Amino acid sequence: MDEIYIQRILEGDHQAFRQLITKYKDMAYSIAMSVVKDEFYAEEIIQGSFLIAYDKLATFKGASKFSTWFYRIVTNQSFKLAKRHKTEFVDFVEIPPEISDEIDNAILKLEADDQKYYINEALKKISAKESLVLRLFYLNENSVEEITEVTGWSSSNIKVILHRARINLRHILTEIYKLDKKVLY
Amino acid sequence: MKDIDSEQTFREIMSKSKLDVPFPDFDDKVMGLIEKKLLKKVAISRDIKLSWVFFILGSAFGILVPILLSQVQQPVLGMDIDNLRIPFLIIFSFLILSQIDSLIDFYKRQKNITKR
Repeated sequence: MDEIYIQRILEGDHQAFRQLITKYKDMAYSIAMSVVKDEFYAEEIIQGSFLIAYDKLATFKGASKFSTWFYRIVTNQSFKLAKRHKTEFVDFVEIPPEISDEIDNAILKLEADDQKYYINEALKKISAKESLVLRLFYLNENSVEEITEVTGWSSSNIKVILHRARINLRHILTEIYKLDKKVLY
Repeated sequence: MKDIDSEQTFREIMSKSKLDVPFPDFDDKVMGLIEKKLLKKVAISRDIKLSWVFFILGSAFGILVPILLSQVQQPVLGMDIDNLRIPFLIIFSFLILSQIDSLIDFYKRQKNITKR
């Protein structure tokens, strides 16, 4: 389907680009948020990325999926902006595993909306690379090879980041949950 | 009991990490920027066409003037025509060369912009 829209855009029907915006804006936003952790910066990034994609569409030869090509632009733009604004991240605090398991179960029993809140808060607190790889692998269901194309990192590096990210996310999730419970009760 | 560490549960939890763009006018905003860019491209190529027209007119005028000057036999403002023709030709040659250079540069830049 993307090929049809791309063809139409290249033939001068610029309105066809709206379909691509609608289709990819949310995942692009999730990717940008993984890196910059700020909704206004993320908006700036995806806006700029769509403009770059429109300008360079003629150079897209279809060797990879359009989404992979486009998310690479979003990723590059995100890291550029993060570098410019020197985004900093909070380090996680190690907690005993038995408490973790207990809280894990509590988190799993939460309503979907609450789970969504906690998971996104936790993703805001882990590093840009970890958050990005987790979203690409689990949310966008990209393979390690596809993530390599999007990020430009080696597959072994991605596997290490993925492993570390899962541990860090679990710890941060537990920390946030514990902190919220303390505030509430 | 579900274990957060299991691949399946982790995938389930991560499926809730998708964020929606919280700006309802986002699509219109991007399309508006694209349309603005397209209008700019059209304006640039119109300006380039006009530049070439005036360049050609100016060049023709510059070639015509020394020819016409050579027809004039009487001094103009107390100066001999031959003395006027040489400075005019020098200024004209300088202008034509610098304008050709600018136009070629402008044309190349426009090509790059419209190629995108």
